Amino acid sequence: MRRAVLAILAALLLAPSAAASAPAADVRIEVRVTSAAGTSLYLDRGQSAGLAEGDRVQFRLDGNTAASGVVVAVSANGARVELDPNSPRPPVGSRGEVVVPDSRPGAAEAARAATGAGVAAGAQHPPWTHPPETWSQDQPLLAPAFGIPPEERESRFHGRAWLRFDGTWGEGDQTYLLGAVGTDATLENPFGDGGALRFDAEAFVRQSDVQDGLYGYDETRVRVDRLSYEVGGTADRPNSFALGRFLQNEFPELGVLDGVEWSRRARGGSRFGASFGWMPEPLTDFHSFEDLQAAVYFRHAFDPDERATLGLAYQNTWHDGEQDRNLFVLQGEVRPSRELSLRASAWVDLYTSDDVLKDSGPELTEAQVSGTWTAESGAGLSVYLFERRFPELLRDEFLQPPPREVVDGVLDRLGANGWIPVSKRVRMTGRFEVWSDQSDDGTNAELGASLRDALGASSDLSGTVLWADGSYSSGPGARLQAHKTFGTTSAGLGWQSFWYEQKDYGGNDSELAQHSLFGSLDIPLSERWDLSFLFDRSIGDDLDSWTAGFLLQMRF
Amino acid sequence: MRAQRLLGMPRAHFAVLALAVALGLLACAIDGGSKSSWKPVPPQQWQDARGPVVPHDTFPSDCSLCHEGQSWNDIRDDFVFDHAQETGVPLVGAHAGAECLRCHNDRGPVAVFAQQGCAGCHEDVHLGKLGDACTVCHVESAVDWRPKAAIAEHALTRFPLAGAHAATACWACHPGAQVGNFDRASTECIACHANDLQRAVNPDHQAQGWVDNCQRCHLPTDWSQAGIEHDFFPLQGGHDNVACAACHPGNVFSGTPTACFACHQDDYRATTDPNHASAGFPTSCEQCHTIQSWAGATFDHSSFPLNGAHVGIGCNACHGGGVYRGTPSACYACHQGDYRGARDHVSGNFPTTCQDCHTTASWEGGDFSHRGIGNGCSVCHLDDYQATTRPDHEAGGFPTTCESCHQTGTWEGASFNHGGITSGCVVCHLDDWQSATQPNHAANGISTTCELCHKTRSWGDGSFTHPQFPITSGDHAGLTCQQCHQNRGSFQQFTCTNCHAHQMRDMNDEHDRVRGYVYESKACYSCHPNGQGR
Repeated sequence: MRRAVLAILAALLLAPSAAASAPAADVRIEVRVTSAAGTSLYLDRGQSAGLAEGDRVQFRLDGNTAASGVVVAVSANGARVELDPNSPRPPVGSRGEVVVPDSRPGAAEAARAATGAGVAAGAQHPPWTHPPETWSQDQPLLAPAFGIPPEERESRFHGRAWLRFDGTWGEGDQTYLLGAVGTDATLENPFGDGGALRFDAEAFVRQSDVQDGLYGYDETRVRVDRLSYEVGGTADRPNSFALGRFLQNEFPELGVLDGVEWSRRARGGSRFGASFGWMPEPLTDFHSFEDLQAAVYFRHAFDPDERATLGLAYQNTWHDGEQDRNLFVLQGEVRPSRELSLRASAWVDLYTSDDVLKDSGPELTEAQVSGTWTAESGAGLSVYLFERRFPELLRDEFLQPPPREVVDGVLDRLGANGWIPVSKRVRMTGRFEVWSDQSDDGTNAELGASLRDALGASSDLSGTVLWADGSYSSGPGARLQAHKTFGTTSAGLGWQSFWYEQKDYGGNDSELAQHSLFGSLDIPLSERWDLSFLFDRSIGDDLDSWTAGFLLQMRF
Repeated sequence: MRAQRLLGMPRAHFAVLALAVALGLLACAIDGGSKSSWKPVPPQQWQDARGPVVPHDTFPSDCSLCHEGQSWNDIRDDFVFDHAQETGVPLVGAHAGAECLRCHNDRGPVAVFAQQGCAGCHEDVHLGKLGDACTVCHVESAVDWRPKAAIAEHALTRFPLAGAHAATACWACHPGAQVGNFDRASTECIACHANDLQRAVNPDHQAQGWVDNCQRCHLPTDWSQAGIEHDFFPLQGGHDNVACAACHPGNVFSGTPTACFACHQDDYRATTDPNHASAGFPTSCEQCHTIQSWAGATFDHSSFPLNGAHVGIGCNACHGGGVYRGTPSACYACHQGDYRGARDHVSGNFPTTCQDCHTTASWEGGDFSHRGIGNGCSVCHLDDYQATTRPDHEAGGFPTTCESCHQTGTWEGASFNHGGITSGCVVCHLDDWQSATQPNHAANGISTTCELCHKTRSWGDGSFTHPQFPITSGDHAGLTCQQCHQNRGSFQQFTCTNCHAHQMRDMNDEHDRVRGYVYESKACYSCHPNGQGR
């Protein structure tokens, strides 16, 4: 009996130590990828299932492919995983497992639930009893959320107002001053139909003295950029209307309009529409009611995500009642993958015998083709090709060139931009462009490098050397820029120098050196107010100028 | 145009102050007048009145990350959404302060329009003309969307902002700049500087046809003055008002030669007085012409005065090959041929200092100074010697010691010293003998033994004695030779009866007693050898 008691006592005494020295058991927690963003994956399990930061996750993919990652953040029912370098990315819905000690709270239960009721983990939610249209805010968000239809929203007035000033003071009292106060305001749903009344205008004083006051501007004007009422065009309202002054929505190439535009989005994402009204001259004050236009357009979306679209617009304009422009705009975009995008657009004018400078028939006025490839590593390459001619217009749209340039002027630009991160902090950029026009050609090139956090956290230091080759000037240049963010304030400072040589100059000294120190400062003063400054101090051969400006902006 | 001023400051400055006040009033009005319960939404926050951020289907399934309480509208107070960490899309600049619904709204899945880049959300006020790489000019991280890299970017266009252009507001060249319209600015200078061209009257650009290619004369530093200094070729005198194209045809300015001839070829060729081309004038016009006028050239040839025979000769005669510099002024340099061709110069080892004997009037007629020369004349005068026929020096075996008879003044007029010479005169004086007419020696058969009658002093001093018959006195004094010697061919023949003929009867009567008397001259002379009666 005594020996039995001793044995029991010994067992009681040794039991805790034996338990403590025994290896902890691990359990496998089934997880599923619910979403992905960047290099992060989101899991459907979190602390409640025993997950903790630092846990490794093995994903099961098709075939022999393996993927793995580390839990970097965890919440009660979710976790964020950073994939291991070179690990393939599991698609959303992929399953995986995390091995955790069963001693973690919830781990054992989660493991049992997974093994005992595996069906539950993959169970589908029963059909919704509430169709989306009857969703209300007090219902749980177990299905895709739906926004409040615009027409049901509270009317809201918001926007921003600003005061800005830009001045340039150069040699010989050459001065350019621009002061402006403006607002960009929107009144949402003022009439209960989900529309928006938008107003964007600026009052400005513009002043310039050139050549010791020989001539210049001194004017005060008000420019209304937008005064429109727009309705529709949301996800569930395929028709959209715009009335007033606005930039044409589907084809901005058609310009700002004082009139009306209607467009409709078909189920597959394709759109078609038409517009009618006057085209304000896109100059100082949007002078209007001289150019009447009518336009129709169609843009075909080859897939609902609009990764491939092709559009065509036709615009006919009349200047003071006289036929002016027959314009076709073609536009296409293809984004076959996240890495690659291709874009092309063309403006084709159709001239008739009424045109003086241009021969009858179609002419390619402008074409832009560009393609951008961006690798996951952050490297990328963009290639572009521009061709541009002057159209023969009655309308004032730009500074009129000499007639001979309208006849035979053509500019072609072929170039490429490239960028590549050579390390976590260093990024190289390069650009190369060749151009030619009716009388000259040239080659521009730029090579730069930037170093992140060179001046402390949230800073960037970059240096660039370049070769500029213009119609009249050519020469090398260099630029050094630094940018740093202090909390919400960001500041930039840079220096650049150019050593130009003027082409075809008949004199003795055709070289011009010019240097400038420039900078900017952006200060969010409060939630409502922002203030930004910029300046440029340029010096060089016969060059001594200041440029300074500020913008004070208030959001409301 | 001078900037107007208000209260002592440029009107634009004043206007900015006024606009600042206006903005303040606007802000107050908005704040005070807003009846909406809406307040600004904190950055990356949400407002329940606008409904949920849509779509939600990619959100983490852990609702408590955002929501709390019993209502979906209650967002956790400590909610912070790290957009970069959670989505891989960092929100920088103004995006960092935007409320969620600015992007995640009822337009549809944000992924659809986000893939379009900036244009997915932002209107393209550039009307598609500037491509889709917005950040080339705009700085995303700034709260101010105004382009801040524009100047730098402009360097890589075909119009880098050189000189004053770097200090020019965008809207000076792009009138639509304030509305984002940077479309198609011509790079032709005239597109912006038409007014400058109109004002350029000194010189008058329009009249000169200077309406383009401004860069050939102007640097972009100051339009009001041509950057080009024409001091390398001052435009003075006749060049003052010449059209540029006269010297710069085709408006090609670089490489224009500054040599006069480059532009004045036609003048050169057309000039006939003197004929530059045929005379082989140099093409270095400036040697004779000034920039005042092509006409009226003055050439200073004082270093070698052109007189005498040098007046009318072509330049090439002295400046062969058009080489004018270094032309020697020594006569011999040009007259070497004359020297060699001249009689005796080479053989006589004449000096090449031609001017010693010759003048510029002519090569011929060299005036040789015989000063100091006392012998050796035949070296030069052998030809004279040989050619001289009166007397024939060679035939006469004259000595070649010319100086014996001749003076240096002239070859003619030699004075022969007859000292010691008593015979053989005819050797030298044959001509004299032959040409003598008083009496005609030859015709009269006068002896060639000149010394019989002549002295050495002068040929004219011949003293003939008429020993056979007295003719210097008596009745026969003063008679001419021909009165007695009617046959000029022979003074051996004579006639007495020529004079005494009308007295033949008398003579016959008188000589009737003279035996052998005949009325014949010889008979007369035989009885009356001295002309005296018996």
